Amino acid sequence: MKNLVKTIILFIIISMFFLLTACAGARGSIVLKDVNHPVSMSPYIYDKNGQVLSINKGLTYNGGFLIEKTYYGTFYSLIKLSGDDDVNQQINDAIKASNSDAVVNLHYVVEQGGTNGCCPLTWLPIWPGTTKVFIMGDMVKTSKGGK
Amino acid sequence: MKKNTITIIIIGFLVFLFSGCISSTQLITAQYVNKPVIVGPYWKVGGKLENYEELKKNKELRKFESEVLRVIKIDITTPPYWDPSNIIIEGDLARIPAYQDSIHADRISKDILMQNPSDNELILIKECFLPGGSIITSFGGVEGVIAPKP
Repeated sequence: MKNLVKTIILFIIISMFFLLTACAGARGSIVLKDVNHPVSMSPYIYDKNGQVLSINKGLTYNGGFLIEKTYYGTFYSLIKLSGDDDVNQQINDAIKASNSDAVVNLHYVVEQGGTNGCCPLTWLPIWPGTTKVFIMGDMVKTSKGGK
Repeated sequence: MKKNTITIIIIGFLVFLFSGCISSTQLITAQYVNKPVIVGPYWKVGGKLENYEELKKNKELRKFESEVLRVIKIDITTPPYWDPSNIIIEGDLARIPAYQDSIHADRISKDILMQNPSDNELILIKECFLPGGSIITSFGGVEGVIAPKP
C-alpha cells in the first residue's frame, strides 16, 4: 500500500512536469490595426463601391509577400512579449512597393520555436517560449473591371 | 524502490523529455469563405471603418472564434511520404509527435460560414491568435464578429 501511494505521488509529480513543459510557447496575435489598405483572409475584397472582387475578376495579382517573425512569451506562455507593429509596417511597405490596393489570401503558418524543446529549462516560468510565424498574402490592384 | 516504481520514473522522464517537442506546424487560413474576411480597419479599397474599435468591442454583434483542430498526419516512416495512403486524418485535439510532419486542415472557413453572413454584413476579424502553451491553447485560429456594413 505504501509503495502504491509513493508510485501515485511520483506519477502526479511527473504529470505536473509534463504539463508545465508542454506549456512552453509564445502567446501572440496578429491584429493589423495599423495597416492602411484592406486586407482579407479569403480570396475576396470589396472595391470602392462595395462590390466583391477576386483575382481575375476585377483584381490583378501584383505578387506575394512573406513575413517571418518570431513571437516571444514567458511564464508558461501567459505573458506576451511581442506585438505585431512591425508586421503592420512590413505589409504597408510591401503594398506601397508593389503599388497595390489591397491584400487577399492572408494566411499564416505557425511552428514551435527552438526554445520550447529545451527541457528542463522550460520548467522555469521565466524561460522564454517562442513561436515562429510565417505570414503570407497576395497583393492585388483593382483592374479595369473594378473601380 | 520497487521495479514498477523505477519503470514509471523512466517512462515519465522520457515523456517529460519529449513533451516540449510535441507540436506541429499549423496553417491558419480562411481561404474557403466566399466573401471578404477583413483584417484591420479598412473594409474596402479606400474605405476605413471609423468605428473599427467600437465594432470589435460591441457585445451585441454575432461573434465567432475558431481554431484549427482537425489534423492531417503524414507518416514519414513509410515512403513515399506524401502518398495519400500515408495520410491519416485524426480526430479533434489530436497531437502529433515531433518526428512526423503535419499540417492542419482548414476548419476556420467552415466556422465563419456557419454564421451565415448576409451581403449586408461584414466578416471582421478581431485577432488572429497564435498557439500558446497548453494553458492557453495549443492551436492557432481567429476571433471575429459579423458586423453591419457601413
